[in-house]
Amino acid sequence: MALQLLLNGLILGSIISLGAIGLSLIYGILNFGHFAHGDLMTLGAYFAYLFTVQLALPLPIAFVIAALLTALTANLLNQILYRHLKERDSVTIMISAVGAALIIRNLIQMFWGPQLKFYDRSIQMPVVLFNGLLRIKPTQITILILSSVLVIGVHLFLSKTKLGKAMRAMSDNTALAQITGINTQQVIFWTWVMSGVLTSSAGILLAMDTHLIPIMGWNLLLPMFAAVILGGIGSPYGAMFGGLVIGISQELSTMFISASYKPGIAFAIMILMLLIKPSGIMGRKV
Amino acid sequence: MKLKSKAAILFLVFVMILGSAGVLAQETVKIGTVLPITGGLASYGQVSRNGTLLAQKQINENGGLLDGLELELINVDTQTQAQVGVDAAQRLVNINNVPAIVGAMSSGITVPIVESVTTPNEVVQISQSATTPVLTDIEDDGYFFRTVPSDALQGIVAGDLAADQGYDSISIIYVNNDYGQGLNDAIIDQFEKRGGEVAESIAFEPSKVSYRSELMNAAEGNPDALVVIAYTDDGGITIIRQALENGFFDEFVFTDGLKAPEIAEGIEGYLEGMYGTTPTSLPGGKGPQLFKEMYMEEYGESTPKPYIDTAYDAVFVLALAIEKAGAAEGPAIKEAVNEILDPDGETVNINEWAKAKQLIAEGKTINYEGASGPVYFDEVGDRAGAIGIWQVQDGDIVEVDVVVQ
Repeated sequence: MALQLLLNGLILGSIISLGAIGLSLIYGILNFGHFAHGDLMTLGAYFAYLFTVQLALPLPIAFVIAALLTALTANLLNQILYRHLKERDSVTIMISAVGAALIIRNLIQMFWGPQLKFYDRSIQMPVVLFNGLLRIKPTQITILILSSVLVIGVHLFLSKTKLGKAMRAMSDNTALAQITGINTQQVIFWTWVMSGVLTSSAGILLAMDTHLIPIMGWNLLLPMFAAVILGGIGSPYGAMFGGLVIGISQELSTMFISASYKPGIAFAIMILMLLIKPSGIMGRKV
Repeated sequence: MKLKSKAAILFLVFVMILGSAGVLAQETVKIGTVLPITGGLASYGQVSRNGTLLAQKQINENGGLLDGLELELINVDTQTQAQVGVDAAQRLVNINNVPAIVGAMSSGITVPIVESVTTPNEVVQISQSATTPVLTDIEDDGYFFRTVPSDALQGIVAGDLAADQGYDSISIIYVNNDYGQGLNDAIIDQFEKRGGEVAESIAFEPSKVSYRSELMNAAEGNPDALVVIAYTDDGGITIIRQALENGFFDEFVFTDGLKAPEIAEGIEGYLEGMYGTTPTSLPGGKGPQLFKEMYMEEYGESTPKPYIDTAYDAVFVLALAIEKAGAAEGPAIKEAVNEILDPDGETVNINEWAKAKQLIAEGKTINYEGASGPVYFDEVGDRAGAIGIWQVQDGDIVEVDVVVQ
C-alpha cells in the first residue's frame, strides 16, 4: 500500500513540480506571486483538448501546439497587464494576476462548458506488478517519462545555455544581473515562454491521468505555491524538489489521516517551512 | 433667463425619467434564484436555471402575476461555495428586496442561507434540490420549503437496494458536506439493519483530480460493492473511473447526484446493469410528461439532469402563493403556500397558469400536478415524495421502479 501511495505521489508530485518551476522563476525574476499560473495550466490542457479531440490531431502534436499557444498567452498577459504594473508594488500586480486567473477560467468555461472532459473516454486497465502490490496505468508511465524528460530539459537549459544562466542570475539578484549587462527584456520574455510551456505540459499530463475541468489548475495552485516556498522562492531546482515532496507527502498522509484532509498537508508543510526556514530549502536569504 | 429655463426643462425631464423608471420598477414581481452557474455544480445549476426560466415564461405569457405584473427572476451565482452563496442571497434580500428565493442547489449552501439570510429577514425560500435530513428539523419559522423529498427516505431505499443485490459488505464514499453526510448515515443504518456490514465509509473533498488514495482505503477488506454519493462533475465520474481503472471495485450503487448518462460514457460495458436511487415524483399526474415536451420545445434537448423539474415547480408554487397572498411579501407568501396547495383542490397542470389564476380569484384551493409530480408540503415544509430506482442499460439511464413512502 505504501508503495502504491508513493507511486501516486510521485505522479502528482512531478505534475506539481512542472508547474512550480515556472511559478518560482517568475517570483524570483518579476518579484510577484503569479496567481494565474494554475489557470494557464488549465488553458494548456484545454488547448490540447481542442486540437486532439475537437480537431482530431494526434495527441503529441496537440501537446506541442498547446504548449506554444500557452507560452504565447503567458507573454500576452505580461504585455497587456503585468508589464504596466511593474512599477507599482507587488500586491497590485498580484491582484491583477488573480483577475487574469478569473478571466481565463471563465473564458474556458464559456468555450468548453463546466462538464468534465476527457482526451480519451474509455478507461485503461493497469499493469499489475509485484503480485498486485503496484498498479500502474500505461498513461502514468508516459507521464513519468515525459515529466522526467521535461525536467532534464529544464536543467540542461538552465545550466548549459547562456539564456538559462542569465535567467538564474536574474532570479538570484535582479539588480546585480542588470549591471552585468544582461538583456532583461529578453530574459523576461523567455521566462514567460518557459513557464507557459512547462505549466501547460503539467496541465496536459494531469488531464491525461484524470480529466479536464475548468477549476483543475486553480485547485493545484496552492500545492504549487507550497512547493515554491518549500524549495525557496526563485530557485527552479528547489521548486522541482518541493513539488515532489508535496505530492508524495499528500498521498502518504492518507495512511494516517482521512483522505479528505489531504489538501491540508500542503498548507501544513508551507506553514511549517515558513516558521522554521522562511527562505526555503534551496532559497536565498530573506 | 434662457439658460435657467433650459435648466428647468432639463430638470423636469430628468424627474419624469426618474418617475417613469419608478413606475417601470413597479411592473414586475421579483423572485431571487440562488443557483451555481460556476464551480463544481455548474452543470446542474445551469440547467436548473433553465427550469426556472421556463416557469417564468409560462407565467408571464399567461397573464403574469396579480394585476398583470410580470414575474422577474434574478439569479445570483453561488459558485458552488457556501460563503459566496450566503453573500449572494444577502444581496438579493437587501438590495433587490425579493420576497422569496429559489435555491440553493446543494444542502451545504442551503442550510447557511436558511439560518442566516431568509429566516431572519422573513423571506420565503424553496429549494429544488437540497435533500439533507438536517433541513427537516431546521429552525426556519416556517419560511423554508423544498420541492424535493428528504434523503432520510433515499438512504433507506439505497440501503435496501444494496442488500437486495446480495452484497454482504459495502463501502461508502461520500461528498464531504451535509448532503453526503446525511445520506451516508441513513444508508449505513438501513444496510446494517438488513444484516450487512459497512467496511469503510469515507468522505471526499469535491473537485480533486485524484481519488485513488480514498478508494484504496475504501477497498480495504475487499467489500462487495461501492456506494457512491457524489455529483457527476465534482468527483463522481472521477471516482467511478478510478475505481475501475485501479481494480478497486467493479460493483456500484449510485445516488441521485449521479443520475446522468455521462457517468457511463466510454465505460458502458463496466457499468451495465448497475443500480441507483433518486428522489422522484409521486406516481400519477401529467406533469412529468408535459414538462419533458415543454423543455424539449424550448431548449431542444430532453431534460439532462435531475432537479430541473423541481426548480420549475419551486417557481410555480411561489407564483401560486404570491397570487393567493395578493402581495409579494414574505410572511403573506409563507401563509399562502400552506393554504393554496391542497390534494383535494382543483387540478392545475404545469401549463395552466391562466386557469390557476382564475381558480385563485374564485377563492378555490389547488391540487398542483407539478413537473415533478403532485406537489404538497408537510407541516415542516418537506415534500411528500417517492424514491425512484434507476439502472444503467446500454449506457443510458432507465428508471425501473418507484418506492413510495
